Amino acid sequence: MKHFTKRRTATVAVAAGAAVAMTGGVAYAFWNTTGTGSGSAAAGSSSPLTVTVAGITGLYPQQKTTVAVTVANTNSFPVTLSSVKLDSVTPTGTGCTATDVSLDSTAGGVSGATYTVTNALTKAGGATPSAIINVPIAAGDLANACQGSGHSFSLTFTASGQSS
Amino acid sequence: MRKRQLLIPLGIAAGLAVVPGVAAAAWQVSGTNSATAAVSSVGTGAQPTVTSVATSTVNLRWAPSTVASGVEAGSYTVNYYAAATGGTAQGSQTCSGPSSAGFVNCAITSVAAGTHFFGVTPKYRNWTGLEGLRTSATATASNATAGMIFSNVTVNGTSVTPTCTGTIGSTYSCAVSGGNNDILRANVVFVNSSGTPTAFSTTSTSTIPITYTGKNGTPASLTIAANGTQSTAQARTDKNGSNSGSITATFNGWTAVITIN
Repeated sequence: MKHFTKRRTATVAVAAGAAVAMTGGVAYAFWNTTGTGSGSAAAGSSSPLTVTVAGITGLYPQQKTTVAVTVANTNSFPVTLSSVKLDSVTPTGTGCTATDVSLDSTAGGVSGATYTVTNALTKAGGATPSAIINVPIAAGDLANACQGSGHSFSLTFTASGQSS
Repeated sequence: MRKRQLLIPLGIAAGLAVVPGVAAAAWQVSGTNSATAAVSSVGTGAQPTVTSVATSTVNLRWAPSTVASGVEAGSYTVNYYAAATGGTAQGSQTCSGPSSAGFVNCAITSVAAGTHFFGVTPKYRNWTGLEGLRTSATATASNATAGMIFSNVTVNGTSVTPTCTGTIGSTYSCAVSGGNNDILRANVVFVNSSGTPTAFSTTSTSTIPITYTGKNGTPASLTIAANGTQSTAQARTDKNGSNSGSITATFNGWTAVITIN
């Protein structure tokens, strides 16, 4: 009866959302955390990446530029960045549109609203690992009324890692 | 038996997952933040400087407008008015960038006689800036110089009246008849589109390059004094035997040809 109970516990844990994978006989528990909130799970917890985006000044029609973004990993385990997504563009004044700002489709690694990155953020000496990612940005043919106005835009970085 | 084989690894997995410090957990983490993209503007046009006035042509220059460091306005609209401020534009012309040696240069043509106030408005793609301070200039001829014609035409020293066709300034062409090796001479005259002599420049001498066919073509250029309309010397070419000779004057994008057949 006790042996049966252990088996039952295992089955419930898997069904509860810990998608289990096995490689070479070692089990891994996958957990997703999204947005700025922190994720938690029975096997431990993870923290979201800390993202600091530098603003763009002086955007002009058809401009291609880069935005320097500092991404820090505050988790106790190393992660490797995989992608950056331009989530949203919102005009903050009159005359501009949400299509005025996009990822630069002519830059390598850009597909639609996603930019592929591969930087590793590895703990070393107790310091919080971080990287500066230059995200390629393109401006559209901004309308005349958009002069002197602005936009707010949001970037989401995704990374994966493994805790021991 | 099949069920048992499945449960063993699951049991291992679940056991590892729920015991901190024992499980090897793979994570996908993300982070989001936002920032602002402030939009530039093409700004206000610089006040132009008058570099010269040639009858109805006012030559201006001004400092370029920019939308970013090193990114200049693509074009400019130059309007001119009767007053230094306000009023309705009497005329307008588009001038293209970029600058050269720190300035955008533009000739405003066909300006009516009188004093006008010129203002510059920069443009960049869809963007139009603000008109800057105006600068005055006085156009000195009511008719714009439109090109050149020939006068005092002689064949072997005898005055003749050439037969001329085409548009002054572009396709203007004249012809006279002559015998073998006859000598054609003619002055060059600045005229308006109606053929009335009209000075090209009130401030400087105009030098007009001349090219020839036939033989003995000379000189290589003719000059017309400031505020003058007719060249101070004549151009000459001779028929080469029975073959025609011609004189071609080119200046300011204009062309005029006279041929002795």
